[in-house]
Amino acid sequence: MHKLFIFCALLMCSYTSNAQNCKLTFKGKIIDFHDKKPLVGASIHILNSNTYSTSNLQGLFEFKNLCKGSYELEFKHISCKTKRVVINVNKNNFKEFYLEHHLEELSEVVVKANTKTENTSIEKTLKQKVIDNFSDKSLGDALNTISGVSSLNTGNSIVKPMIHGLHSSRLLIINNNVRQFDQEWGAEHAPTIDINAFSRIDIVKGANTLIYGSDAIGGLILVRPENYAIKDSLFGSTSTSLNTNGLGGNINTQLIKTYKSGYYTKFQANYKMFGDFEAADYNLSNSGIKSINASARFGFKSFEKGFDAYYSYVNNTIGIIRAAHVGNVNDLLRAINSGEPSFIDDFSYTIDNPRQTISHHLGKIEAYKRFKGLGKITLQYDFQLNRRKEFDRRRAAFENTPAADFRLFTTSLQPNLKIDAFENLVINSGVLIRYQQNDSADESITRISIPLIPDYDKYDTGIYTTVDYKVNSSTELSAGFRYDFSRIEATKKYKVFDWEEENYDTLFPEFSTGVIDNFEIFTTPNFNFHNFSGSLGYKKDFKKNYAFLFNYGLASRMPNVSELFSNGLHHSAARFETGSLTLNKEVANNFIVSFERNSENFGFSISPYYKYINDFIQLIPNGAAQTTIRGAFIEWKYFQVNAEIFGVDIDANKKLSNRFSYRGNISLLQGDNLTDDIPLIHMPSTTFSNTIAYKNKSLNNLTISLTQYSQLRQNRFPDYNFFTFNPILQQDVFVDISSPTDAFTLFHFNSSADFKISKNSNLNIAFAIENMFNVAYRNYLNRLRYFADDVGRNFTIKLKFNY
Amino acid sequence: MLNFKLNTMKTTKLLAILFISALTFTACSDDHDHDDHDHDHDHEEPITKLEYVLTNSSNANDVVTFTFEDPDGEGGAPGTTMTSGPLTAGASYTGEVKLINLEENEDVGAEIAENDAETHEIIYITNIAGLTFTTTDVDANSNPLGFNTNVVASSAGGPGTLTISVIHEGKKPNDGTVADALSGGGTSDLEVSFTITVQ
Repeated sequence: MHKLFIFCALLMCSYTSNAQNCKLTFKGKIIDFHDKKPLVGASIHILNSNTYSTSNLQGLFEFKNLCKGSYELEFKHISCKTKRVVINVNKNNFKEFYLEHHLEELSEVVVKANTKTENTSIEKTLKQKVIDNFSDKSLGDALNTISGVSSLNTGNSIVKPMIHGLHSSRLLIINNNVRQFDQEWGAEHAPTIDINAFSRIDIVKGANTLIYGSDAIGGLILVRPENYAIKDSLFGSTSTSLNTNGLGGNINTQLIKTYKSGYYTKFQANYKMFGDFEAADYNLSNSGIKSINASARFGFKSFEKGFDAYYSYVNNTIGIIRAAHVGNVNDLLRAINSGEPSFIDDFSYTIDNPRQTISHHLGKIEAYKRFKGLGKITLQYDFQLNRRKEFDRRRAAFENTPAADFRLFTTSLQPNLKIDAFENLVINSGVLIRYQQNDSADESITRISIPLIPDYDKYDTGIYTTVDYKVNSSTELSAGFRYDFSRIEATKKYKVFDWEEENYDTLFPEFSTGVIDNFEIFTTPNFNFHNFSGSLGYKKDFKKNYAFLFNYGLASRMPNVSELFSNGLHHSAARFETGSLTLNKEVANNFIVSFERNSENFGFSISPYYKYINDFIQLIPNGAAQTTIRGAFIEWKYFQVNAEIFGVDIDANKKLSNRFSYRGNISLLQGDNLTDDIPLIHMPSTTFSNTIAYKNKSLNNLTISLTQYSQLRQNRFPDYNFFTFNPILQQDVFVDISSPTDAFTLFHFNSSADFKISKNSNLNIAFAIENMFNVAYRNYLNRLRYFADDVGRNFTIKLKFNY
Repeated sequence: MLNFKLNTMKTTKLLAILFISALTFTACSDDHDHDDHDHDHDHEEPITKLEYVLTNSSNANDVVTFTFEDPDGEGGAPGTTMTSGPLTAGASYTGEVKLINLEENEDVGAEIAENDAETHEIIYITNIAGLTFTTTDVDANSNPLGFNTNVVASSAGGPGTLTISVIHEGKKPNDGTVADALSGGGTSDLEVSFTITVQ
């Protein structure tokens, strides 16, 4: 900030009045709103006159020889918001004026270095342009373009983001400053977020942003809406896409009104529909998706105070390929061995069972006020309601009976105090109070005796402080601490046999109500967890845009409800998943370093990382098959091991000529189960991509690019294969559920151009080909890899009309 | 599913009359309670018992029963299988399968045979030579169903196994093998094996 003070030289302008009774002097002092220090070199102009003054080293200025009356003064200071004040001069007056520096928070463009989530965090950002390319896809698809980020998929529409091989509860998804709770514990649940409601997505690698939680072992994904400029304006856009694969697309429209007074309002709505997608060689029957989304925002912002109210609604109906529903382990084996889906039908828009329907409501209101010489107090209240229904292939009588039906309600209150009155030091401190309730539909609705996830109430409270210290103009340090207390109270039925088999009757007799009905025991498990987390960050800037960053993060995560309680069948992959009440919290030590250069001509970032995770909770096949009347199932169980994950993400960009540029990245990762001395299950393999782009600004912003994306075979995998007796073949058969898929390379073509329609509107037309050579491939991290290939070639046209 | 249709209509309207009010839209969107589920209390619970009774066509006292019971359902205690005794060489039997929900004491098999026969088929597989199973009942499309069978035990053999598979939404008609029955995207809804002897 002090750079601002030295900018202007001291200047005093004098003004001679020629009127008679005009001998009054007006003196004033200009003070920095933040630290109450005098502001040097501000210019003060009496509007509609030729009279100027400038503040001196003490922030003082004066106007002599003023007449009685009122004047409008305009204050200007480098990088401050221009301020106008009306003064009344009747005697020799003195008045103090406050000017404000933190303009970046009010400005329209928020892409400067100091708008990172934390100055020392290791971050990657997706901007509007990239988001537009994914308007008819999911959040996970967009994030997949970032080095170090991959995804755990269920088919092609359920894309769950992964950072450095970690997913689900180990990633915090922050949706417009609200931590998203949409039953993220399930591997086959993707975030219920409409990417079109946002203009920017940040990925924070590592566990360094404590204000959102103490359990970000993998990192954070922050999706943010646009920050509007304070001016009178009405603008919007309508876009649509059409795709040959899935014969569908989306239509999205948004309208924004901003006012000079600081008020703003926005409406957005999106509809997306696809029929069955197509793999290279066959139709992926029942892979369609329908999605309806809308969001509204209303707020007011000024430097001193403001509020933001936001509401969004997302409703998805997602088909899961029919061939992925198998009866038992022998069906699974048949699917693995045949190499083709067992059910291929003609293209259809119908979404049949198995399918998921998910709706998500999110509302928040945030208000802030700044105090002179202190900082900013923010208060945020939010609520979320997530309703998920999963429909399996069942007998006709159950066609519309969900096999699982959960309603998750979450509400939280978060006061935060940001103290920025000190020079070079910013302190952020706050409290979190959260309540969460899950309501699982019972047997009378689902016709399944024990729900996969039980009813529960969860209470969280947290307290945190983070400190950012600017050592000098090129060096910054940060540190943080956070403590969270969580209590979970569940009501759950267990099979008496399981309760005793797991030894819960001796380990947790206090959870038993003693009530037993038809082989089931009623229990009330409850747990308390204390989580501590901390962070350290260091950033050093060098000449020529080079920078070095180091982050250390200590994160701890309590087992989620799925890990503790899950209990039931998943028909895709013939799984019987079993949680464990004996799980402890997971504690991770994260180290990440980044050496980077941000420049359009030649930029790069090299980020090696190392994580050691104590009591890492993993879901693995437990060999022995569960025998039921349906035949055998593979039991998947949660176990805790000590684990390490390390690797490096490398990004590079280079301007080759005026119009050609190159971009590339590579992600290398290794995950080890140290307890058993074997690799960790489901770790992403090496991926790399290269893009050559041509851009001609003078020819309608024409952009043409060609991208190559390769994923190598994961050669480090744990072997959980097993033999099972096949009663039809009358012999033991080998079930290979562990072997990874082969390496593949895809090519994508993108092009776009802008056309001016009128003074304030333009049309962007984009044409793209995904998977140009229609490569048939399967992804190791796709849960449906046993059943069908991934999606084949797609031609897409996108139109975006900005007005 | 009514709710989703409603939403689609509302969204179409919203897009037609651009930007009326997203709030109105979301306020009327689905969030019903668990009470108004589209469910029906008349339907059966899961199958926890399979019983296959063979009665000698010429001697009503020669009855062989195969029973699979898993009273606490999937998960929990494993199911138990029981074969009452050997079949008589040279005899033929009429067989009947019952699928039962023990908790409600409901005959789910009868319900399937009545309402859902076209999407189900029961297939019998054995490794004993000279023992044949023939389905004698058909669904509305005149395809084999399999609740009723005729069993011919031409010669002594075994002990071997008998596997009873209930295939859902499979290929009908098929060549009588489980693999072919499953090839149209079918799933094995039930699959139970018994020891079987002919003497």
